[in-house]
Amino acid sequence: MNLTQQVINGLVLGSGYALVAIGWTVLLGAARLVNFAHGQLYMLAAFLAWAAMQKLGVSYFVAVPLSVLALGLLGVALQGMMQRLVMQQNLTSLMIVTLGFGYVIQGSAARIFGGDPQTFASPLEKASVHLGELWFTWQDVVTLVGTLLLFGVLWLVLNRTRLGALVRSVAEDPKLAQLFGINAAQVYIGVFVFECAAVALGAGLVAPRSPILASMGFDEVILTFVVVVLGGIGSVGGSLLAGFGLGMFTALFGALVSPAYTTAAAFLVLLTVLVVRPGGLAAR
Amino acid sequence: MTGAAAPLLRVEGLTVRYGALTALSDMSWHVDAGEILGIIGPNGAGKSSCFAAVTNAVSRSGEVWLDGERVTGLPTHRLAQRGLRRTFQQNAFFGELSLLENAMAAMLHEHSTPLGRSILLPWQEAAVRRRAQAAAAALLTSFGIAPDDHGKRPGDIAYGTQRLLSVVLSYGAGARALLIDEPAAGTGGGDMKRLADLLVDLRRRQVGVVVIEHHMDLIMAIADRIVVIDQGRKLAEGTPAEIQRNEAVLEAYLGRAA
Repeated sequence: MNLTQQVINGLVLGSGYALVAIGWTVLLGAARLVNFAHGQLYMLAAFLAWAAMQKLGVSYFVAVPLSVLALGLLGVALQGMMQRLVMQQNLTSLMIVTLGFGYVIQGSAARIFGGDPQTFASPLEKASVHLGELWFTWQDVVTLVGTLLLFGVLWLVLNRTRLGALVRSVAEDPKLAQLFGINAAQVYIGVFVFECAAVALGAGLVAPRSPILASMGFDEVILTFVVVVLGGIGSVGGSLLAGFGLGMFTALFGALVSPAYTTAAAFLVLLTVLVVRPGGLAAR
Repeated sequence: MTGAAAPLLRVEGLTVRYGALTALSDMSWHVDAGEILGIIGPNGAGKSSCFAAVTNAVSRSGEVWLDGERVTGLPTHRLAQRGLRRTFQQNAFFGELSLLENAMAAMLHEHSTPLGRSILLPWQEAAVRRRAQAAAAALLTSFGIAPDDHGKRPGDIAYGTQRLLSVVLSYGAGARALLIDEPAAGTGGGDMKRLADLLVDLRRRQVGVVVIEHHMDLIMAIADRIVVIDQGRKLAEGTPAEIQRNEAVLEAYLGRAA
């Protein structure tokens, strides 16, 4: 085993985990809302980008922004439907509603795009870099850099701008925020649109690694749960750390033990961390 | 009603029902700019329900007018933007934000760039943010909250100052009508004096102040008029002196002892 190569693999995997999870992290942190349709949104975004390339003939670099835009619009529609439940913070119903959205999206995607696996190809995936024994693609570089940039900007916005203060104030107490004249409903829409757009970006960068399937939603983001909870619910920095930690763990565990048991092992790590630090990595 | 002009805030026939329980029944009162209206009554009389009803935070029947304009159907945040705001019995601030950020949140509507512009033109956001920071610091300082405390979180300042902060935040960039729910709860002595001064300061700034309070000495000292609520209904209304002489009020508070 080449350790440096595994570290590179870990970084690449980890940036993907973190990127796919970031929307959910913000959603949980800012709206105290879980979205069990997250995986199906990831799947849908990948298929939309794929379809744009296949049917419209646009390039990968146009298809991904298109799919990000489409998911953002879908976010407005979904949040519009959930608005009253969100304002009441009716979390149990919301969980089931998002689960329902997920199945509707999955069914519709299978109906429209068919049940066969498809190749969502990125030109950057084919452009690889070889440094001696080490190997990675430009897609990996873009994913890594893009993830770091997105997390950096997001951290700045949430912690250093009034927009961020607004989001944090609604997260803490939507009723009080309304009494301060803040339109909490609008903030919730904004956060949900970010969640949908971010997972579309994640799909655009991560999904080309493997064939895409209409039924892949849940499996593809199962590790998102681990990243979000491990990082400390709603913590941006924590989920970046958790994403990279999990990526590194997956790469090394896969190389040293067996790739077949990585998911089980990742959840074992999650359980261990939560027993020792119930608040996740970011807990004070 | 005083004078020819419409009162700053008028509520008419407010009724709140929680299932079978009628928490507030046919409540009517008004407050003018630069006036303090006290609302008193036993626990469970419907005082806080009254505030929730005015700010459209519970489903209710009845009417609300602000500056002579009917605002019954406006949602809470629109009322707040028009200057009708309230505080809670509990401290009303964001525990995870600093005092300065809290004040900025409280003044957000007045000092803000629209969401789209703040994303597309971040440098404008920065300039607006600096102005908002200055305004927030000025707000806190003008109500006697020292600059040393502005960077702290609310949990790290004295309890008496926390109570002040809740009221100052609700005033924000200049509320017109403030509904203040038990500002002096849990305070005493010097802190209560500071709160009384704050309420009088708000009256001097031409705010229409409505205060729910259990401390009779405080409310009798600063209120211009008082409404007494018992079991969801208005029992009496008048100046502090009139209320102190009112038979029905004495009976409700003390039982048929007199």
